[in-house]
Amino acid sequence: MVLDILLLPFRSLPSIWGLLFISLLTGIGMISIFRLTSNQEKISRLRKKMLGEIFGILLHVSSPATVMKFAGRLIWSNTLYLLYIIKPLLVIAIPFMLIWGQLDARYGTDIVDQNTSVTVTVEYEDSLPERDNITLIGNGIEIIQPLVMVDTLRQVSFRIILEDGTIGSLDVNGTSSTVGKTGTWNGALILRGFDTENSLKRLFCPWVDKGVVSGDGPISGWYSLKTVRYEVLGGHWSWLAVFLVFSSISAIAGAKIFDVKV
Amino acid sequence: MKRRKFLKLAALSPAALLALKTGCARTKSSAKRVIVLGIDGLDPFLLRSFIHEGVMPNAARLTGYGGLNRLGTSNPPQSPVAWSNFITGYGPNVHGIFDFIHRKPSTIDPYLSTSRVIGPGRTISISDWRLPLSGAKVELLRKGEPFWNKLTDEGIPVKLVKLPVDFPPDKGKATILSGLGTPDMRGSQGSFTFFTDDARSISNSTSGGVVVAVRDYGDNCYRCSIKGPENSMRAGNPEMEIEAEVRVDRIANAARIDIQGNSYVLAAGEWSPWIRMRFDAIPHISSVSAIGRFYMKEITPKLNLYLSPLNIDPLDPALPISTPAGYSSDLARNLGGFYTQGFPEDTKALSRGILSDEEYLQQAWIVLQERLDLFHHELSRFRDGMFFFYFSSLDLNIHMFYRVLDPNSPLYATTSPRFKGAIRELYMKIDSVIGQALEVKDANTEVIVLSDHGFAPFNRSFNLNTWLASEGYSTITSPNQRNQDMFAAIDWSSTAAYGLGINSLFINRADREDNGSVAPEQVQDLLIRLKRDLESVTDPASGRRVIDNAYITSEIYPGPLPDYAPDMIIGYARCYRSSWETTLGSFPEEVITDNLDKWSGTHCIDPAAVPGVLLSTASPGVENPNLMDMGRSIAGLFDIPVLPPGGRNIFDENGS
Repeated sequence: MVLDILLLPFRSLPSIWGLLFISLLTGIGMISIFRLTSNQEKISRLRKKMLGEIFGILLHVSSPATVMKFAGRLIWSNTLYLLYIIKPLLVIAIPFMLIWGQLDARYGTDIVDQNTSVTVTVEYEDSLPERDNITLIGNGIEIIQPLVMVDTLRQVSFRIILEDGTIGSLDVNGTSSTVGKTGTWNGALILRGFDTENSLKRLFCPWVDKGVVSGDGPISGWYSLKTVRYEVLGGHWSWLAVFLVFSSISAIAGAKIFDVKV
Repeated sequence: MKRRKFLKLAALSPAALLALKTGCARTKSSAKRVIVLGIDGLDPFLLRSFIHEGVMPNAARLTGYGGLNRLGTSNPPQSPVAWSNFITGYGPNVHGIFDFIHRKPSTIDPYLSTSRVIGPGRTISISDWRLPLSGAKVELLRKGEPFWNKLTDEGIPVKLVKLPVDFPPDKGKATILSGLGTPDMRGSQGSFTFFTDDARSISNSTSGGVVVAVRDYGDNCYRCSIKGPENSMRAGNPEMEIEAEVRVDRIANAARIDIQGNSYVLAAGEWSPWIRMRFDAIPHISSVSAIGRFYMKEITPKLNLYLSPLNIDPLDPALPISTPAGYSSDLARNLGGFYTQGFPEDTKALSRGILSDEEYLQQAWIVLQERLDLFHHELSRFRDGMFFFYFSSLDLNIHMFYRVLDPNSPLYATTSPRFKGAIRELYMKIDSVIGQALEVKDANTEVIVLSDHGFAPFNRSFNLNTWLASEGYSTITSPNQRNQDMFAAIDWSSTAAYGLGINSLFINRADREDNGSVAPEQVQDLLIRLKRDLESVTDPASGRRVIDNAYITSEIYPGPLPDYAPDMIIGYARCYRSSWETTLGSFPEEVITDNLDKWSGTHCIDPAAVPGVLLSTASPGVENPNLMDMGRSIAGLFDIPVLPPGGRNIFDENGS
């Protein structure tokens, strides 16, 4: 929801713009959280101390005993540093994972065009029903026969075409789920499958739809979507590479500008 | 203030970078527009006949401007040679392409004439890993300056799509997508993979592709290993491999192909979309991307699954296929995957019986449809300058289906006549392309349609090496090795001449070949004798001459020639051509045999018998236009101070 609002100005632009914006914002956000949740004074003092210890090593290279003394102190200072940053890192980890999941769901894959089919695979809990007892109902979806039944894996696969190229719903033996994109704009969530179990997984994996069971239908399913790569600086980058590089750049720049001791 | 500045910078820097990438900058514009359609194999005789039938109204309209002209082709009239003539305005003595195949003069090892891959210079070895210190590179072997450089030097935009004999593409200012000559990911001109558990299909032949035996161990699952390019980062360069699981449902007569986390359902008789595959050179660190299409030929009772040659992925090319580098990915993002290999129609799979006539034509239509989509896309973006677009479909399909046009073909009786309609349909498609080009024509636009050569039947195969042996020009010492490639049967010390490639004949010179036997001073006399003897060869079955002209290369291309150039170029008579066995140096028993390969049309004969076509909205003002004239002529349609040096300007009455 928050991301939907943040991405509002980028809806009609190519996806890369929204991804860049969120990456840059995340870098700034993370560095700000780090500043708020860490003891900046302690970190600052410790950094100066560590710098002194490094100089100590460099200045006394001819005296192994002194070097060892400074090296020991430096190791201890590093341990302390790790302790100081554990709290902010733990605080950052949760929003970071949430954003990660959201970005993966929005920018990791793309639905195919209206003329191309997507393979859907559903998995049953126990054994597969008889072929004639498998009912498929699509709303906004064209279902393409044949069904491929894989008994050994309790799976059934078939193809669908999203009629309007965005979203539809699918019912397999009473288990219904949403297929496609939750909006027509760039940066909308793209669903990659469904799961009928109630779990926290969906919080961090928002591309999994909650399947609604009202029969002996499958317990989970997934759609074969194409992975997206972005052309940035002459290379073909995954969304993750774009995110890591640009969020890091903005975090480093933010630390410099806001004088955050990291 | 500081923060505001940072935010501004943060927002603008990526914007600027992307703007640069997406090409916001404009080049100098010219009001003049020239559309050039390069139709490989468009034959003047077939074209005239289809125009008379009334099925090519747009071509007929175009002949109303400048007539239907025969366009002189190259000698030999092979596509790489002919298109190189077009690009440079000169013959093989300048651009250096004499045949599809060249050979190292000393060792007689054959290689593809148009490009070569040079491996990384130095490597660091760690266990069986080889880490390159410098990158491998691909080299275009065609020499000479492309004619469009004179246009781009004047700021005139030039775009050439699927340009032949330009892999890797020239690094000039033109926008280029490489065509003919672009290899597949395994470095060949197209190598399919056929997975089967049908013992009848399994063979050791590797011509055009490999047949891989697979087995269902009772779980209705076949594990298919797909071999990719060689891994130069491992000792011994083993092929990289990925696995596909094919789970068959015999009741539904369909299967699911699971490959690298994605699944594709295919019923028997269906083609998959393009499937992207990544091959790891170093897991998680270095990989290359390829694309391929599956065709589910049969599921029940046996699995027969065809996989197209693995093409260079236009979205993430492992080798350079476009200039600028991002052009191919730009096209792929707009249009999806497309064949990037130079010979997209899988003629080898048809010749080997892996695909039937019907299945081959399905694949050929897929190729043509992709090409048409590409053409529409680029034509709609064309504003000014020169736009060249190349179509391969006529050439490759007429190679395969000439047998339905010629009642004298040994395969005429066994080929369904309905495929005759397929050739007409192909010509009609090309006519629709001409129509689209004419639709965008205005007072400042010229439309030119040209082909590199025409076509002739290939009914009889001439085993040049067998003839040379029978006439005493070479000696066979190991008769049981006659059918092995690369002259396994020959005694070099008593061999005066040998054939390699399609139209090339070489003298076994003592000063050039490692095992040469002919002294330099004897070469000219030998060539004269060979010319006389070759031009008098007749077919015992019909009494017809087999060779119209045997050209002594130094006479038709005066001046210094490279040492890989053939000493003689054989101009076969209509209906004849060198056998496939000749091209790779083997010695079948008979000198002349029926050609029973479905590759039943040819143009690799005497150039006078297979002229190309020139249709143009600008009227040619000189007699006998030639492919070599076209670069200068196209450039001459623009207002530029210096024209390319090669050829004549045929649109100028003086030819200057």
